[in-house]
Amino acid sequence: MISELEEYKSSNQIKNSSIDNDEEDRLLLLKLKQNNRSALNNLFDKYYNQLCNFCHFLIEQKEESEEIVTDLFLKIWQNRATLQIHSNLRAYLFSSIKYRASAYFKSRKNKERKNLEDYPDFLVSENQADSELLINELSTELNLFLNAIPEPGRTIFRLSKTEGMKYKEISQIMNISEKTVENHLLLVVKKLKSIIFPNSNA
Amino acid sequence: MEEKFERLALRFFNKEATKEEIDSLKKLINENEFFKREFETLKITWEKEIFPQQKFDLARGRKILNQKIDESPTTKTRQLHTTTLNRRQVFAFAASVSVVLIFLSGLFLNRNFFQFNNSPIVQMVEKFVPAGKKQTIRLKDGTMVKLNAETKLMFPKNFKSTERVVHLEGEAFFEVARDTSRPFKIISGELETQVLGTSFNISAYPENKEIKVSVATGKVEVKNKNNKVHLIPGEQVIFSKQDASLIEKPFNYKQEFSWKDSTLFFEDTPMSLVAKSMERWYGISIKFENQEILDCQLTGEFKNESLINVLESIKYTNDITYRIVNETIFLDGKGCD
Repeated sequence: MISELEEYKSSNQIKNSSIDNDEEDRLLLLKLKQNNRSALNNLFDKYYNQLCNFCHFLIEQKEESEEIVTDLFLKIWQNRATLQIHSNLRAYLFSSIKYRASAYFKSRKNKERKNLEDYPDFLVSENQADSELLINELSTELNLFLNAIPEPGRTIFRLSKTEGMKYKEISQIMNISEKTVENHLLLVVKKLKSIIFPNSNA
Repeated sequence: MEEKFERLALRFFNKEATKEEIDSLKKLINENEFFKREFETLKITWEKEIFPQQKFDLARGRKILNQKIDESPTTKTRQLHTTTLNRRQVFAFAASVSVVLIFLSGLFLNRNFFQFNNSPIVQMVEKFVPAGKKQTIRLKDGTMVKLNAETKLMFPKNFKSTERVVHLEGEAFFEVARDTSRPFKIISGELETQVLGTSFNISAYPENKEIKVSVATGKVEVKNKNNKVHLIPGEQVIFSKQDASLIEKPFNYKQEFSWKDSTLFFEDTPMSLVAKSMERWYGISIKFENQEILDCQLTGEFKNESLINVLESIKYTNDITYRIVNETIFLDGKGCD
């Protein structure tokens, strides 16, 4: 246990090398702004899978996720001359996806009202079945719990767990304070623990 | 105290803890059996893999992105247009599996044909690629279609929930997005090609006597009124418009697929066919001043080559001279044995 904590100190330093990563992103962004299309492609390669997975987590539609992510990069390219990013690029990308995912939900609702015929196109049965299969491998209880975590806790937990983001980055994406991020995380983890260890009375 | 401990542990797992925080966490764990156990359970909880990760195809994503950029109005290339059967209208689009179909000539002018299979509420979209161009389009279901020059593809604005039907005239390479609940059907004249998810080429130019379907990956079913064949990768079926026969055979990948990689490919190809290919490829017209040279053959691969370079090749290998007048090329020579 203690040795693990010792080890952690050095691994924490490794994580701090995310500063280098920010630097790399800054350079790519600079090139991109100078009309360098391969810089755009490099950024795309770097974040495509992460962003698609995050989007899929939010909207649960595989093809629409690809659509939303590629649209975002299209917008970045089109607006490269005027684009201003104040936080780091990764936080910017994730918060854009979050925004676009909620816009997608809104437009889908409107569309459903307008045109019921369109609806079957959204039911991409095969992909849905795929992800359901994966989830089913977990205990049903965990599954139920995860879907029931209220937002923003659910997304915060995901950003921390899957993307390994720090409180600061999550707070930028979710537009809340770092303290609030920590509070939400704590609640989720405690609840999760009580499901995995039902007899622990902590 | 417990709340403080949990906060510290969480900061530790999230790689958020400072050196001082790690030290005080260590202290708590060392001095208290309860916290020691608690740390263990929290650690297991934290490390539990809970979010299933999907696989997203990066190459495909890139293709979609770059297609979107090339099509967007701000990049000043081409824009999407829809509907009308005006053959001269230029359409732009993007795609990825290769199907080449050769169509029956009468069909082309028959406006009503396309409404025949579809109820009136289905809105159809038509894409036409003129000579000298190639275009890739992405359909709503994720299927990519690369269209060769002088090719027309018609498809409904929204696919039905039971099947995905498109009409092809000309040549195209299809990469069909897999959807087992909705088969993908390509209709080219009397020939119907059906797949669930695969890639293949269909060559169905109206002026050709035959339609060829060549499979790259997956399984493909091809049928007409009387016959049905199943193809696997490396197999091709040739449908004769004259006697409606279906003949299966292996095929040369380069011969059928190179066009989609911007390569003109000839292997002992008679000049009459070379000329036809070049007319489509470069959007020009070719005239033979001496019919003898129709018997000459050409072998060669031309990747992204200029028209002049291809003409020079023909000149040196077959002793055929060329002369360019506006958009027409006149070929002349003694002929070959």
